[in-house]
Amino acid sequence: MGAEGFDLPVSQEDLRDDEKKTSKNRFDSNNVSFKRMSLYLSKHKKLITILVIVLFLTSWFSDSSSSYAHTRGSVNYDNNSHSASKSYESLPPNMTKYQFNWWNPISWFWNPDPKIVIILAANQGGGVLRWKTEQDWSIEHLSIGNKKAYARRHGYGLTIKDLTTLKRYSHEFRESWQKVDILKQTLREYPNAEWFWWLDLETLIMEPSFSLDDHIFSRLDTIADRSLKNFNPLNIEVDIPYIDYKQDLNLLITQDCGGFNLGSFFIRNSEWSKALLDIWFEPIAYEQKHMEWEHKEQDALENLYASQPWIRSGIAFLPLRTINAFPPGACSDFSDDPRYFYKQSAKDFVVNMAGCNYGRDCWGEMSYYLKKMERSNAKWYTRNFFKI
Amino acid sequence: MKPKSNLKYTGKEGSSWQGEITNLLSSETITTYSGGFNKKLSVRIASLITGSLFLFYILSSMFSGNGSGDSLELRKEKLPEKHGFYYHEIEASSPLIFPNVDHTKVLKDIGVRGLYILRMGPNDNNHYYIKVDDKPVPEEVIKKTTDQAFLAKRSFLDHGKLVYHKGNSPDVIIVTLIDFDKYDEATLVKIVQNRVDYGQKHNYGVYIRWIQEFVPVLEKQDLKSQYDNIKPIMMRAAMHAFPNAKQYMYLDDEALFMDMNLSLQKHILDPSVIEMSLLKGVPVTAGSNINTYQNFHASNAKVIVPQGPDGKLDLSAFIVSNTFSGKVFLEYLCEPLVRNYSFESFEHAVAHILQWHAYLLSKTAVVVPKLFASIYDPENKALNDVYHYTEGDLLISFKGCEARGTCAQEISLFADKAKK
Repeated sequence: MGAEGFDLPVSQEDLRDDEKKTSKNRFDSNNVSFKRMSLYLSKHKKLITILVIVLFLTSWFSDSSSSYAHTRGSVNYDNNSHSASKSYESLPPNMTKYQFNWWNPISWFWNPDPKIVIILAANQGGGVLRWKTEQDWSIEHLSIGNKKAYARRHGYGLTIKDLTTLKRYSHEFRESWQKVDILKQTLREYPNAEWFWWLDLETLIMEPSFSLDDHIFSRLDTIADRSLKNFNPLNIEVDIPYIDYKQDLNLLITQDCGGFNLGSFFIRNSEWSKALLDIWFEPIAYEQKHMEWEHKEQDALENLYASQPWIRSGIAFLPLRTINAFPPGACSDFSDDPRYFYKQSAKDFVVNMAGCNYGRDCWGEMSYYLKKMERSNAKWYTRNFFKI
Repeated sequence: MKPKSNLKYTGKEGSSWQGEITNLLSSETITTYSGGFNKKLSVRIASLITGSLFLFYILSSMFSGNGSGDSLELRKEKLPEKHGFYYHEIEASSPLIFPNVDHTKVLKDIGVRGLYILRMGPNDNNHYYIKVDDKPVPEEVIKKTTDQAFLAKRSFLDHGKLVYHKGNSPDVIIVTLIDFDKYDEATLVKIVQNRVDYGQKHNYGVYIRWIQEFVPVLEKQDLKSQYDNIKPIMMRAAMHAFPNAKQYMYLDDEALFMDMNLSLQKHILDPSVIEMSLLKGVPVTAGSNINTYQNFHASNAKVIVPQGPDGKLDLSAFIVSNTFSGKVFLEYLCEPLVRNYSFESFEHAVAHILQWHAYLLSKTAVVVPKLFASIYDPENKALNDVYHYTEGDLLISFKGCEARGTCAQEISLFADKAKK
């Protein structure tokens, strides 16, 4: 296609002469209509110019990748630490997807019943465990803006969960178990939602145009792996009795170099999930294993997966890069394994700055990927004529 | 974005582009004197700009590297079929599955040590293993052999492979574990016969296995301390063996059906009967702060567990339904971290999971013991209270007979008394 495109400006001298002649003839014959058209154009010159400018600007500014511009207002944190966390807002989704109902005033403004709800865990520790720096605020701002724009674009719900009470959990010797409580709470909050997508704060959606239906749920047959046969970093026994691979999937997670990763996962609103969330924290298991279980709820899930067939029957593994790609800093011991790391050319969906709190620069990584995302998703004229 | 790539092309064909423009300009000089052609020129310039922008757009989208051959899709592999502890299973001809009790003595002589492969580990860490791909011995071989020890061993190992996957499955399965070290053949025959009689009368299934079959599944392979922990493993196996049944009733070997005419559906499983015998708002186990649900409805009863007179749960007989919650209940009790925790008893383990997991408690009906676990009390035969066995009860449980040392006598005494 390109080659033909380049031939358009004719270069041969003789051909050019011919064309000059023919074009002149054509001009003569179509003189009248041309005159009329140019007259018309010159009459409405201003109108046309304004129209073009307006069209250009609207399409430019509606460029979804500049999610930054979309974050209206700021997120208000609930000061009441007793109610562990609260949903702050349900976002007005895409106009085409929400059910408009005259009798329900709420539905005039936003989707009262989103089928997919994104749960974003924000404000970890709430500045209680350590001082919240300027960069922490900024990361939060970037991350929330990114998910907001995405949820709005596709008509998903977004609930931002406040992890301020981490301190209280650490007092109860069960840090990071808050995830389970938040999930339980959100399942109750959105009884009609079908899937919940948990996202850690240090994640960025790199391809906001992908819908979850197209990217994940319609492709489950080809991307979701129900057994550990192909990829088993923890060397969990692959086959145990009574696994039923014909059951519906209820939990879609990813595995990184160190095992299960719960930085980004999907959980279905089902009885299975309710049972799992209830059983996830088992005091006697934790009592026996709390010295070994470094990642608490992640290790507990690995343990449940290893021994209980009903858990296995509901879980499938997605390739890390479909919803949870890593920057080079994470899993750095495996830097030659392409399964883990974000690849822009392959349009990896989400990047997760996993573990950036441990000696890496979260803010630096976030802003690097945000820039990358804005650049690759900018409209062509923005990309070519303006430096971003 | 792609200044370099564009430069390359302009370098190659730049002259022609310029030529085109000068061409245009010259055409303008030709046509200026014909007045309105100024407009024509601007249109032409505009279209040229539009065209080149369009070209630019196409080029830039062409080069915004869309990597190929980097698919995250899996190569599809066939997932294994649902299976139990063995890959190769035998379809049973009748829903009455019980082991060959004639082998009791031979098996006792062989012992667990002779039945399994024992792998020696360091520090006395020896472990029995199940051969998951063990193939059942064909019948012709069994017919030819006369070696009793071999026959007993093979029938012991193949017994766990029996399943009843047929469509005309019975609704209720009676599940019992028997032990060739505990009772002699005569007592075992009475226990098995009692269940088979009852099952046949009401068209129920029977699933009886040797408790020794489950030794390799355990982490601590000491049968004495793990005796009760095998119950949920056995129940889960029954669920697998009879996938089309609705209810599974576990019954200790030291319990007997005393009235063959009472059906479980009418006597226990009927929601109104459950509703009547529910213990609502009582501590789950003696001294617990967690009470059973005040608003529990019989239709939620996926697991039915009686509570004994001392306020503790009594797992000598319990019912689990073939539902998701029933599976979760059993598989959770089979979890090694639960099984190997230093609970006082299996009853404590069940009480623990019910107290800590509201999901399971909301599916479990805690009922009065009389419903199906009335205990035999040899001293107070005249006492007619709600806990102990009186004539006319469906079941008798000889719980505590081991301490009295009279299990075998009591079983044989009552086995013949059962109302036919």
